[in-house]
Amino acid sequence: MATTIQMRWMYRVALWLWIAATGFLSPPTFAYDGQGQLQAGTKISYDESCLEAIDYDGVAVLASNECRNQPANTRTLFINFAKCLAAEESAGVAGEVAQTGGRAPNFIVSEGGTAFPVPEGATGPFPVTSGKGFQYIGGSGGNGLSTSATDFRFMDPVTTGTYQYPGGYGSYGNAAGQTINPFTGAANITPSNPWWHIPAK
Amino acid sequence: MNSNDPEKSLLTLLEGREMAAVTFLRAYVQLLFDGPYLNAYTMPQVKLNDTVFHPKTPGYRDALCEQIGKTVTATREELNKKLEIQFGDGTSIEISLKDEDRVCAEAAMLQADAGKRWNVW
Repeated sequence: MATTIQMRWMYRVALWLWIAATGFLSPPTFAYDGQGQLQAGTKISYDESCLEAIDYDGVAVLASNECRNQPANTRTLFINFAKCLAAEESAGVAGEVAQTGGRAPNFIVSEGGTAFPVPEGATGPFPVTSGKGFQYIGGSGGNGLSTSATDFRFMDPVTTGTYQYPGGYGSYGNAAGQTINPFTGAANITPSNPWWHIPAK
Repeated sequence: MNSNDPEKSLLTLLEGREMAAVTFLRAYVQLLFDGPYLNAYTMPQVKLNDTVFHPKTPGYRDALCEQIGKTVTATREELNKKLEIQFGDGTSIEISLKDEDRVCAEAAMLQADAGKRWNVW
């Protein structure tokens, strides 16, 4: 019986064969819904309906947004492959989160598959005193983020009160501890701005 | 300090420190205490003798800035009610933690040691 690792490689090989056969994708790049291409090595998450790029460069963000408006690719092979990769990436992140004060991963993936890039060179994770979140600090930009983005924190789900985030949320800060739009670096956003608390699934 | 979990309250870090600066940002304020800083997303009120300054009270910004240079003598955290920072002259700054006063999921965030120790209310 094939092991999990063997299964993952089988899915990989099968996907690339499918890619080569259909011409839908052409190595070494990933494509999505025929709308464009992502760089090879782009990490992905999958939520049963939508493939999301993780490294959040401009193309990846576009891919994620467009994906929301496109019919999901429901082919079994594709789904299994996406699940495998998502599981690998999530497990990798969880492993790094267990270490405090180390070098940050390139991204954080929520339980539901939402990906958040972490500022390059940041360290952490540093848990919040309440135990309901953690943050990475002292980085700068990278992964499509503004160079003003130095900190990233991810908070647990909020399921009571007026402002609820059932999947948790992420938030970016600058070196002065002010919340910013992670892609423009602007600190003039208000708490009602969607970039302030970015909902996770 | 009054909290359901006193060991976890970071507010006590402010005790003995001077409020060094107040930064007014769009829709919130940041209070700096020579190292730690407290972001008040729910706008704080200033209690000065018998007068309470709310954000829309004339003189509110003056009242807040007048606390610069004063030393924090006590802090108080009341779960889901308020955070309170008291100064030696009897003045205090309060941040409501009540849901009805919030403008987002968070009322305040305190960071110390450059973010290595922090809390969100």
